[in-house]
Amino acid sequence: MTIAFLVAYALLTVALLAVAVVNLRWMLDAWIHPEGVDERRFAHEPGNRPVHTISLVVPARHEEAVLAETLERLARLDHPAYEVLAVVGHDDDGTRAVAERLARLHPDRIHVVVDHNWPKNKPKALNTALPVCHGEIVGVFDAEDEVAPDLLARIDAVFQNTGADVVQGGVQLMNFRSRWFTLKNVLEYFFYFRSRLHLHARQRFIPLGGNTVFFRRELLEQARGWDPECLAEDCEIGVRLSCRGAVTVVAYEPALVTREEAPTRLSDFMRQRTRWNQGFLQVLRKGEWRRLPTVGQRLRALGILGMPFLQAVAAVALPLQLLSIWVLDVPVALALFSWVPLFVTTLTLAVELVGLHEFCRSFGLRARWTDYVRLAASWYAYFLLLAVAAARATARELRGQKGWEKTAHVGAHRVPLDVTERVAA
Amino acid sequence: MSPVALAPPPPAPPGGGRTAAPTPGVRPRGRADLAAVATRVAVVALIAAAALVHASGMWDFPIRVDDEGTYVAQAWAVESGLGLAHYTYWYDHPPAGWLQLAAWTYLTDAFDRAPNAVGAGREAMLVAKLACLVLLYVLARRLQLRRPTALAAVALLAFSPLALEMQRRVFLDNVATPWLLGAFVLALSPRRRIDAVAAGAVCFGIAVLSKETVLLLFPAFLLQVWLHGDPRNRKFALALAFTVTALVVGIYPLFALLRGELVPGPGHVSLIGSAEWQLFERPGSGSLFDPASGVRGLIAHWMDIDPWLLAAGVACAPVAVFVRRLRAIALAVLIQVVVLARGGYVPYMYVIGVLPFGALLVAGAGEHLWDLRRHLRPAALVRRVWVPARVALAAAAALAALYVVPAWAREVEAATTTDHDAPMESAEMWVAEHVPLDATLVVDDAIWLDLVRAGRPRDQVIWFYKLDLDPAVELPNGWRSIDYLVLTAVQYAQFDGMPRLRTAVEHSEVVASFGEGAEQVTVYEVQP
Repeated sequence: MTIAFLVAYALLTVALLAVAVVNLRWMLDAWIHPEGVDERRFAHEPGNRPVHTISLVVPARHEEAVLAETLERLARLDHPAYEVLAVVGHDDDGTRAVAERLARLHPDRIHVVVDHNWPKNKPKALNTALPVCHGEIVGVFDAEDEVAPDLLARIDAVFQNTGADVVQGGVQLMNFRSRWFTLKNVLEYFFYFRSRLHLHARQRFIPLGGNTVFFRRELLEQARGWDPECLAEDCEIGVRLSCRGAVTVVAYEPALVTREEAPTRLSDFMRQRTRWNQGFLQVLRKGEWRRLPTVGQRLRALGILGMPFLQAVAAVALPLQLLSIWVLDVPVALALFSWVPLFVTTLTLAVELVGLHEFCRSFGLRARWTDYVRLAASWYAYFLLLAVAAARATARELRGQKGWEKTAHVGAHRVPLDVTERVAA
Repeated sequence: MSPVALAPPPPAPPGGGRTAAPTPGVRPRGRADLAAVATRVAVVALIAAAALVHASGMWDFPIRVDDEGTYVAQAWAVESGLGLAHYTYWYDHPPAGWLQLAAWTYLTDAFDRAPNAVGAGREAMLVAKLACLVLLYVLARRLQLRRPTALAAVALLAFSPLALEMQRRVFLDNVATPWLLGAFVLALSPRRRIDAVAAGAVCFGIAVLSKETVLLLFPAFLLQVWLHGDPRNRKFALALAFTVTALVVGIYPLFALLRGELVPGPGHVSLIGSAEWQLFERPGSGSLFDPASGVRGLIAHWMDIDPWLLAAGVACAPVAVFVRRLRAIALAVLIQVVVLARGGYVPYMYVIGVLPFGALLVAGAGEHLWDLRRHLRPAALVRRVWVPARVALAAAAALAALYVVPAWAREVEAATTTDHDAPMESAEMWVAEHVPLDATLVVDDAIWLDLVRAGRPRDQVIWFYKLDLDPAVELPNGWRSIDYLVLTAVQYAQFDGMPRLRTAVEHSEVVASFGEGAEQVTVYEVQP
């Protein structure tokens, strides 16, 4: 065993350990100390009254099955001064008809915006709506979102109480028993919006979520809206605004989260995750993050944007490394050390098991013991799924395939399940 | 139940911001500050006094015993690059204890400084003792005991003759105890941080890797995490406490696995094999209820050194269980009492794990009784009971002090002034003067390393118990190959199980003898 090899082996271990520790730290941020849980609530002061005007943009494409209910709910939110802009494609008559019907039912609330861009995608739809928004604040929702009735008033209060430029509310996938991979997917959202995003907001570098996100309109206009070519427009706008010093506040209360459904087909899940990852790669390549003032901030940005890929490497490297202990005859001390990343990764499983309990308790559900078993059983396989998605994303980006991956065509009779995918389709 | 301990943490300031400690400059200064400064001075003075008491005469009292020699020899083996032991490491204990010893001897060059090899280890024990005392003070404060109470707990552990004798010895338990106390201190993080709990679990794991019996106290550690936890993050704290400890302790079996020595097999030692022997095959120390049993003998021995701290600490445990802030500590003591009673093997140094917790319980229970008025309801009963209770408590404390303080003073004086190690030292000098360097010796472990460091070949200086128990010890002519034996009372007690040793002694003549009774050291010359 040459010294060079041993050093490389130790360095790989250190890198894997760093990835595992950073992920664990992100996951646990909400619970590091008890006050952390309260600090995540929507800033609220007695006497807060809604004072802002708000525009809600709802891009919809082939959404006739769910859009009516979504718009109906959005029209009834508890806020005195807001409008809903349903953005529909010029080629999508079905969805357009639904949106126009709802607009006639709520003429003072809902307006229809027709997007003539081609090819179509979500950022272009958002950019089409931006010039016709009247609100001081612009919010984004997806076409199947279940939005809490008092969310807008609470968001309004957060803008008043914190001086935020951007407010990110919670989004939560709910169907954790649908398929083997939805359980992990649901927990990912739980830890992301409940814990991790708040840490990124404190650190002033945050990839935003795709919906339940609210901006001061002038800030969006100064930034010239969303990047029309980015596959993860939500992340991109968050990074761009962060680098320009925007203050983002993340707020989370289980009663106020926007509920969504996790993709239940493996192929849908894979496409969605591939697109996000490729979007992250595009944001990395675009290089806005390099304008951050300090080296530390730039490294942190690199870590946040690169994490899906680092995790993919870790998911594959870790078991190989452990096997190699026996094959390569590494000194015992180094072999022991090379298990430490696995130990920390095992900790994240323990934390996720507790997270499952916490998630269910927060949402009035009850986790069965089989759910815990399923989580443990699906845990590593899910990492591999993510690794495959990261690899696909890298391959597509290297080959220059920048199109929005088409989801399998969803017939009008079937309820499509993945919101963002449908916008993309 | 203590309503004080149950009280929630002070509410966060409006807005949910982090609670900042009031800055000294802003807060009005007064008696409280003076008291704080005074106690700080008292803590430093007390610990300095404890250090002085522990250090003076630590090489001369008590006499070196074989286990101490074993651990310093293993530390020396690590330091010298021979591995975890200079013979086959057989998973008798996890190695973290003597790895830390080795760190001390290597980094401070202790073997070349101390008067003898065990003495080098005893220096490390002084460091461990001081760490123990500081951590005990912090632990008491974090259990919301008052400063004087915390000081009392520290004083009890610092000056108890039993603690002094046991904690001077080079025992793995002494290496483990600071980690154990550190684990409890971190479990009681003032802001209830779960990263502190995780760090506490690492400490607990290191304590177990230093001395495996600490694992018995795991329920007490988890209970402490639970009791101190906040409902908002307690689940995560417990998950971390449990998993992190499991993973750190898991390093030990993993280490065995990587060396191919986890499960028993032909031609090699194994962790599981050794554990089976220790747990199931090693003869037990008998029942607590059998007056002739080994465990009763041990207890009598401990009580003979000093009955007060041990007895009072154990006596407080069943009561302290009902005081919330002392419950986990009480559980730690109770578990150890139950283990004593269960009838398995109990090692001589077992009591070390009880003493710090016992000191906390005595001090804590005293404070609780003193404050009985706060804890009792209804008010009418309190008025009637409270003043007599305080008077009784003060009287009891005064009486105990009158009796205990002089007794302890005598013992401590003896421990700091008398030389109990002289027989061992004289025997070593005799061997150095009279026994040629190439002679084959069978010796007590306590002096093994000194002889080897004096230039004798390692394979010609044999630990007495290896003679019968280790097939790797090769003597071409059996007992006739031995030239000299240097034995203590410890060995005579084990003659029955050691036929080779016995035969050798039967064929030899006493050429020198030092000391008497339990501290007698005898040199035999074998007559072939």
